[in-house]
Amino acid sequence: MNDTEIIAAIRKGATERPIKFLYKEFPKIKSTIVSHGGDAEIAKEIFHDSLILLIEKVSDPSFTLTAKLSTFLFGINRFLWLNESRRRNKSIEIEWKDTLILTDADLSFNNEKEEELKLLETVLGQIGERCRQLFELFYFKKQEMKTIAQTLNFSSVDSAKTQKYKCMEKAIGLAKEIKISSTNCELK
Amino acid sequence: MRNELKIMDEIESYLSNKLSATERSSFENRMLEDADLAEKVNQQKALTQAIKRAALRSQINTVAAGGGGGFSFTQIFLGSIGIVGIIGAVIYFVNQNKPEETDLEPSIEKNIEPSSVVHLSKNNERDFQLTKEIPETIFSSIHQFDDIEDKLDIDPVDFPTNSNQSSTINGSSHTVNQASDYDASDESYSGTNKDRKAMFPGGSSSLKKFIDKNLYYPRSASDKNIECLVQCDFHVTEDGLITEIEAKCIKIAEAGGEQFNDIKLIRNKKLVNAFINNSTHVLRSMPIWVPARNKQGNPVLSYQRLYFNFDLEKGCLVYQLDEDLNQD
Repeated sequence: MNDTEIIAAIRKGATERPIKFLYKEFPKIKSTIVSHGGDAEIAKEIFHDSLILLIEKVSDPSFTLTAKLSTFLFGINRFLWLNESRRRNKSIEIEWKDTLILTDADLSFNNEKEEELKLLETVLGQIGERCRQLFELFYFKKQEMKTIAQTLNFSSVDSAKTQKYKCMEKAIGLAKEIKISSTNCELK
Repeated sequence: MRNELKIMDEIESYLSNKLSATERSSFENRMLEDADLAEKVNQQKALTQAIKRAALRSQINTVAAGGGGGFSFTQIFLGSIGIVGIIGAVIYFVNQNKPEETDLEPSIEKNIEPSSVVHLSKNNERDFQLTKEIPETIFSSIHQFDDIEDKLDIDPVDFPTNSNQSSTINGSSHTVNQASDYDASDESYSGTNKDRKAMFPGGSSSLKKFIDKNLYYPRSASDKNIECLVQCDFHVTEDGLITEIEAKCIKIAEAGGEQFNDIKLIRNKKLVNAFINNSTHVLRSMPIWVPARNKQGNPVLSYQRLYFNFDLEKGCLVYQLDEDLNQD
């Protein structure tokens, strides 16, 4: 797969093969992060986050590639690792090979937003299997509501839709609750 | 439909660009006026993004775990090799007419029947019988094993106690010695250059002692006269913990024979795994290492490589060659 094929596949929503292909970069990135004071665990986490960011970025139709995709991926990883080390109060000057120097603005990266999304992701793990399936089929696999209603055995398209909105309400409500309780903890 | 659900539906049409230009601008105007609506839009937008991320993440995790759907040609090919290997192994085991053996954990025979042992200790065929009686995996240190034999030789009448003893020795052999035994490390080390490699606490002699006590020669392999060399790569963290163990068998052969070819390797996959498992088991049960230090004397993470040589004559030896893995 070359870069244009990868980008085309991602835009079509067929992310599996691009992920497999890009995953080959992981050992190199892992060793770089490990040699800069990280460990394997955090390297994996950062790499997975970087893949997600890359895919989100590439899915945006206005995105144009200015370097090789793998270089871009390295750039994101470097950026995320710097971010993480800052959070750990370590200032490590990173010298990475074959990488782009990216800034928050380049990636439209915002720590608060990321925190919020992380929270929502955990919330999604708690709202029940049916809601999760419904969400995944509709938003990720982009299936029609009609097919989803059939696969998940809803009596009608409308009831599936209603269920979906109820799930969303539940998720947002839960996220709010968690946020409030966590700020309370900080105050204490 | 309830009112809130209606609003959500509207927001979703807006987010997925399904509105016409006029509808869109009127919606955006409403958002400007209604802060509550704007917040709802943001929440819903974030939620859909999170849903996509969660799905992507699970996809990435399957790739990371080496899974992932869809059969490629190579997978089918490897699969068929695997099936051939399984059939080969089955045929092999049927031919050998042997029960399945587990090599990772030694199965310890607590009681050697005193009567039979007394009988055989008087018998010249003792050696042969003994190899049948010893547990699945044996001590690496052949000498220790000899000790038991010697005792049998000296005092066959008093055997019941000796048999207990031998079983306790066998029993304790697989209990891991706690770090405290090996804590006599050289913390007192001082020199001008503080840069130093990671090492087993107490140095190579105590490493040897530890290996003698804890590493077993898989008996399924020693029965078949198979010797093996296992290479283990691992990290020693700043705290001296061993992580990221990667082990592979770099040489396997019958004693004095040639290196196994691929087919033989597949047929003996179980033995290879036994060697590897025994090696990694010992690694995992090791006490805390003395971490490597950089020039400033601070502990750092380092890469280490140990070779486990399973040799039928010399027992199990462990080498640490003077390779510098930290360069790459």
